[in-house]
Amino acid sequence: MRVVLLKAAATALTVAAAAAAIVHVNGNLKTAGAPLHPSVLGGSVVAVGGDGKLHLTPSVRSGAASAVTSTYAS
Amino acid sequence: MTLDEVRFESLGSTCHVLGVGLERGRLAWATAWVVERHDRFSRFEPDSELSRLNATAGSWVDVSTELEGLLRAALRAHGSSGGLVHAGVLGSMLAIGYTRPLRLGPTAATLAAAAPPPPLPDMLEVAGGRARLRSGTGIDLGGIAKGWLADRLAGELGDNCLVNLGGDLFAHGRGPDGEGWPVALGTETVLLSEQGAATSGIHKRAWNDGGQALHHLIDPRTGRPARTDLGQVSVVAATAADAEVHAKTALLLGSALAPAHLAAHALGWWLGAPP
Repeated sequence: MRVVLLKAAATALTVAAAAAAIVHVNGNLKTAGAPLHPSVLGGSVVAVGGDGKLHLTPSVRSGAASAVTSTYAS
Repeated sequence: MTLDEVRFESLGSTCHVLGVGLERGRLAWATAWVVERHDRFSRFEPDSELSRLNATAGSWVDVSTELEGLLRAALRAHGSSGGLVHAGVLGSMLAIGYTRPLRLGPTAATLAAAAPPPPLPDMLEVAGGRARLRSGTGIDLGGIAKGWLADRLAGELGDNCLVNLGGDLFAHGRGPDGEGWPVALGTETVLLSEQGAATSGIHKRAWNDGGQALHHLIDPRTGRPARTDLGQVSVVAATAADAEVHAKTALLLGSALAPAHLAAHALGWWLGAPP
């Protein structure tokens, strides 16, 4: 009888902890619509012009300043 | 602090070196640094280190620390590009008529002699200050040296500088306004700091031989000038050498596969269509 009571108590505690975790997570979403994988991996198209498309990851910023030099095929 | 810069011709290209707060004489030093490397690593200079290595294919020869570094970089580029960036296409270069600096004009092509090279590790061995090329093969460092040298010169020149060697560049420091070095990439300007960029294309160093359009970008899978549906690819990566490797790889892969390769390896990229 004592063993059964212990098992029942442990099960109840587990279920209660899981329920509390679900409530906590759903109540603390920073961005409910955020994708599981950020777009970092694929980059994003930031400009389409001329004859091509520019993709940048967040580690490269575009700027409004005049370019001091350029990369080109040589 | 002032922004100083110098432009000069070397490595078969226009070079552009910029710096903020550089000590007096540093730009002249940088110019001499590049010119000296051109003389040592050009296949067109008969007395260069590279020419000596090519001329003694089949035998072990002593190489400088820098040439050893370049050769090891070529081997890494071959590995990271799945064999597409291949410094051992000298035979194909000669076969298409790229036998001398193109300002002197190409020579007649003999395309029947253009064949896929063996994998670079089967051609080139590098070990502790020595290197050996397989007999009958040769190396051209034109596709790897500019980025590799830009990375190194930027590290030695100063705390806030940009080294652009023929379009392969490395931006060191925070740039003239402290927000990064503004660099044209495609139609946009990007701000680079501790990052490299490079462009690979098939429209420069291109010519016509008896009605056949030729260019210098050899596809090692065929041993002939690459056929691709991309006109040019510009890449931002952690170093200029990496950017150069991934730009060339993407160009050779073509528009169907290039985005996946660049998404895995690049920080930014521009895919340009043929004109």
